[in-house]
Amino acid sequence: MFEPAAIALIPLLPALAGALTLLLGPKILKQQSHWPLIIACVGSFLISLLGIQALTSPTLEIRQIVYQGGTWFATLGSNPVSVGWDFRLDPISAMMVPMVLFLATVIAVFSIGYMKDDPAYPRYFGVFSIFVAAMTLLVLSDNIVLLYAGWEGVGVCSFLLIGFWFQKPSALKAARKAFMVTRIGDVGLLLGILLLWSGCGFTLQIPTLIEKAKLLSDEYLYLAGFLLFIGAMGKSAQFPLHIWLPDAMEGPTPVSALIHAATMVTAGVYLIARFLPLLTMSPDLLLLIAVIGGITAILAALIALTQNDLKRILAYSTMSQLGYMFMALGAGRSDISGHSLVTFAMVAAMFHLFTHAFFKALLFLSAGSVMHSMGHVIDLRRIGGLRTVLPFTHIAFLSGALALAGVLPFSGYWSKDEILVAIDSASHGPNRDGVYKILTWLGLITAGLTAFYTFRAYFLAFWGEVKIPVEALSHGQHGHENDHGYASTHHEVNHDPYGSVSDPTKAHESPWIMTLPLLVLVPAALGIGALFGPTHRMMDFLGSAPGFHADHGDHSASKWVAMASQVFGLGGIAVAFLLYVAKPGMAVSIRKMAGSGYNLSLNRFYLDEILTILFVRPLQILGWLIQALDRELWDRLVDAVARIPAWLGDKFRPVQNGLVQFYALAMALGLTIFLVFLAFGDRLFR
Amino acid sequence: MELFAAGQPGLFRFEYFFALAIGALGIYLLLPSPRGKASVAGSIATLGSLGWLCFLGLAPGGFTIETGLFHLFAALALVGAVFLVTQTNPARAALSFVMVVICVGGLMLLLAAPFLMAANMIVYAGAIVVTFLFVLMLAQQDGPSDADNRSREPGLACFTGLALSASLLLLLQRDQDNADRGLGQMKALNAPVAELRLKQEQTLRREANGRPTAPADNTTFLGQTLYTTLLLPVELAGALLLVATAGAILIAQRRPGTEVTP
Amino acid sequence: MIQIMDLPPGLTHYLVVGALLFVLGLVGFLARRNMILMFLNAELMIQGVALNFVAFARHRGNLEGQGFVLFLLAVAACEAAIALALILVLYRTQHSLDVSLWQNLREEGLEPILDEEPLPLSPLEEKSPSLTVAGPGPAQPEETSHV
Repeated sequence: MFEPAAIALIPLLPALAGALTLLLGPKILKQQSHWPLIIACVGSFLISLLGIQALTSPTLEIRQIVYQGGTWFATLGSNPVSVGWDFRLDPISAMMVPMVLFLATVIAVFSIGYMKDDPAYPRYFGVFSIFVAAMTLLVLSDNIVLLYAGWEGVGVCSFLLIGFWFQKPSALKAARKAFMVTRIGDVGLLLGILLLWSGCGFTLQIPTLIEKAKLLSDEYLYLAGFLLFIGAMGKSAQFPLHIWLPDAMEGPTPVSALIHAATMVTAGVYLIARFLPLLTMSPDLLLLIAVIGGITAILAALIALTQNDLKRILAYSTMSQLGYMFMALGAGRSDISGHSLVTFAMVAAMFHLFTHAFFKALLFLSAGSVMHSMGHVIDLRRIGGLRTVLPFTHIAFLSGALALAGVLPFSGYWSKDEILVAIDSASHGPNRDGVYKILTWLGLITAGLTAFYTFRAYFLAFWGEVKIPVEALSHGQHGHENDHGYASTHHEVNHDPYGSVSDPTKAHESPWIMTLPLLVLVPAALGIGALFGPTHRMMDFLGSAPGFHADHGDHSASKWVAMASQVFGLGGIAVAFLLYVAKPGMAVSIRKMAGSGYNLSLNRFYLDEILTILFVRPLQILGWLIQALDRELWDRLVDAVARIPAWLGDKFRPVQNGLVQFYALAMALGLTIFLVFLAFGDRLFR
Repeated sequence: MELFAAGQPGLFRFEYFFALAIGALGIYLLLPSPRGKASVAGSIATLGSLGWLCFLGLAPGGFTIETGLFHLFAALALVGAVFLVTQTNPARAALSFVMVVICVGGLMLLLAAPFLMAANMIVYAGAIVVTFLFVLMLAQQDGPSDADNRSREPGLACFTGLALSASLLLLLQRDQDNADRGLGQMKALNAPVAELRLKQEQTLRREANGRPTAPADNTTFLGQTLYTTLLLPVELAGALLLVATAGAILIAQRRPGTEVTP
Repeated sequence: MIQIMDLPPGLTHYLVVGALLFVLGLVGFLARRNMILMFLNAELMIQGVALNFVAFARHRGNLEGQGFVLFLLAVAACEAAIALALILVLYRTQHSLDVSLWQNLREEGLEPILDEEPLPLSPLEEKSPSLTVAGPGPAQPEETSHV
């Protein structure tokens, strides 16, 4: 029998591991700092598997296990706030938690090799552990404030890990940017939470909130849901709050794999999926979510087309896929006659989240392996033909690319297919069907673009003539022994950016501790979609979540999109092959033909600059004004006040004339005043 | 009968204030000044003020031998004090201080403290003033110096003295008022004291007419008090004297390089 | 039986005399510039205080006040010893007892206070008889005409 209290252990174990590592790491554990994290992750993973087993037992009436571990804080009064350590394991969190923990374990093992010899090794694993704790807390909490605590916790850990190499100015800047941009979202989420709290009788339990919120007025619901969605936008890098994610690639690559691809960025999707039964009451909001998702998907895909940085391509791809998930969630309409799409949309989004986590983690880890071997050079113009140099990494990247491109038997196909079907089904409803039709086509085009840019990166990195950057040769196998990973940018400035050699004998495949996690992830990334998708296992499991119901409805009307996406995907791969392998010259001529379009994509549609002008500059001007006001007005006032005693002192200083008798005179007069006070004080102060 | 007892409560006795003001004016006139001092006017003002004060002091009770002696000693002490303050010649000032000490001794005798009278005279008139005179002669071998013919802000000094004495009298008067009205500290002070006073009077030797003699046992009782309740302060005072002796020797030592020959 | 303290020289009489002695000492201390006189004035103030103590001792009918006067005497003796030693040291450096010569502790940048008014000739000098110098008489102007 599964003890409910064990749920609380899932976040607790990594938290303890983090505390242990941070406290003991620098002095005692040192290069063994990874052990607490790995042990805690494996432990929590096993607990979560036991939890799933308990959850699927037929004796359970409602598919959830609730554990209430006492009060965290509470206030009295007419509007009580009571936040408890409430955990709930239901199918949605039961899907997320093992996924997070499994990937965390694999990536932690990979990090052992990747972060080897870094002087801040214990700090890395300490913050990593805290992140895992916060992420599982976020997913498992039954209380929306506890969820918010986990939400902020992952934000802080993300900040700390992006800025892990804080000696590097760009990393610092990226960390700050990520923190500030997600903060906008976090404020939205907090306001949304407060609105729901005050609107729903001051409860904070998520299921009760969802139940009670259905009675709210449309406007109230729309506003609260919109604020929640802003939070999700910030965390999941949706347009226009997406600008932090590409910069977040400044962090160590395993961090990018775990936090900025597989887990943290999906927290927004998780949040919206959790509240989908509530949000579906407001069709306008759903449409907004879908449109924002669609814009993000196509925009990120278009930007990814021309990027030269392998990690950045993957980052934009992540954004694009997150856009897919939001599109799916936005399709969760309940106003279609006959059947509600809520469960179907939620399952589609969560399923894609699930498969995406595996293959995107695999892709990032492969990129990390490439970086490790290439002396931290990731510029696609300087590497090439690596399939013979790095055979294991090549297989891993290819698998990930196939899954991401959605080629038929692999996992990306099954989940993306469901999303497209969900959106297309939504377009058969009354009202707003036109928008959903456009979104369907956007999704299809994005699928093609995804296949193209993924394979563009793949062909550029692993095919063609062998190109190995000089850094890889000078540092060899232990590339970042001395430069801790940030010197490579420095090199790039000094050397010819295209400086490459083609002597494959000097570059080496990464050590086994890094290739092993890759090879473990390959089957997971490839097969997990087929295991859960067509067999309806995911639908049965997730659909049994409280508030949802399994939906095996007939979506045959939308089956055409699956075929279309396959065509688009394969087409994209073929174009990529044509341009970058078969006829390399064509890419250049197309680039010239595209002209300004190419530049637009290369410069990320100038969105960073536009947002800077729209928001950052006015704020800077405001800050400058406030500073000037502070310095010129208030400061001077304070100085003036400070000058009064000095002035008085100047006036009274001559009293100290050095004559003893004047001092005695002052004493005597003082004594007189005291005596008069003694005589009349009681009358004065009566 | 106390000094202020006959007055109306709450009203300041302006006659005291005027007497004091005239005295202050007299002292101002008597103080040495480069323009020379108005000796006659100052003396008249000071003596007038003293006479007025004596009259005010005599007024409430009527004349007895004791009041007569009290006023004699008090007036002589104050005259000596005025001399001390206003004399140009320091040696004469020191001698007038001896007069003050003797008169205060007489007042102490009136207050039934014969031992203190003797000690006061011996220590002050006999020891301290003589030492002062020695130092004076050592320092001022060529007669009075310029400094003795000048005063430092005589007007301000006299004003301060007037203000302080007026406020002190005011305080005493207010205290008496409060006592008369059954308020304040005097009553509280008097309550436990009455018993003590009774006890003391019973132990006093009395003459045939019932009037107590001057307590000749004063020395015995004082010695008992000093070596019982005040033992620790006595020891401390002894230590203080020792330290002061050592300090005086150390300070007065001749050190090379500190002297300037004129 | 006659109540002692009900007779006219009551506590307040003595207190007033003590206060006046104290104030006169203070005035002298403030106005006089001879250091020795200043200390004599300080002793005068102590006399006033001593009188207060004795009067209170009489008033309260105990001997603590008188005992305290003895301590006062001890302290006055100490004070006199130290003060005279200090005066000697000061006198040795300046060869004057004028306290106004010691203004070294005044505020920086402040001019010392100097005596502006000239002293008149001392009465001693004024009144001392001036004898003619012995010897031949002073030269007389020659007579211009012999009639």
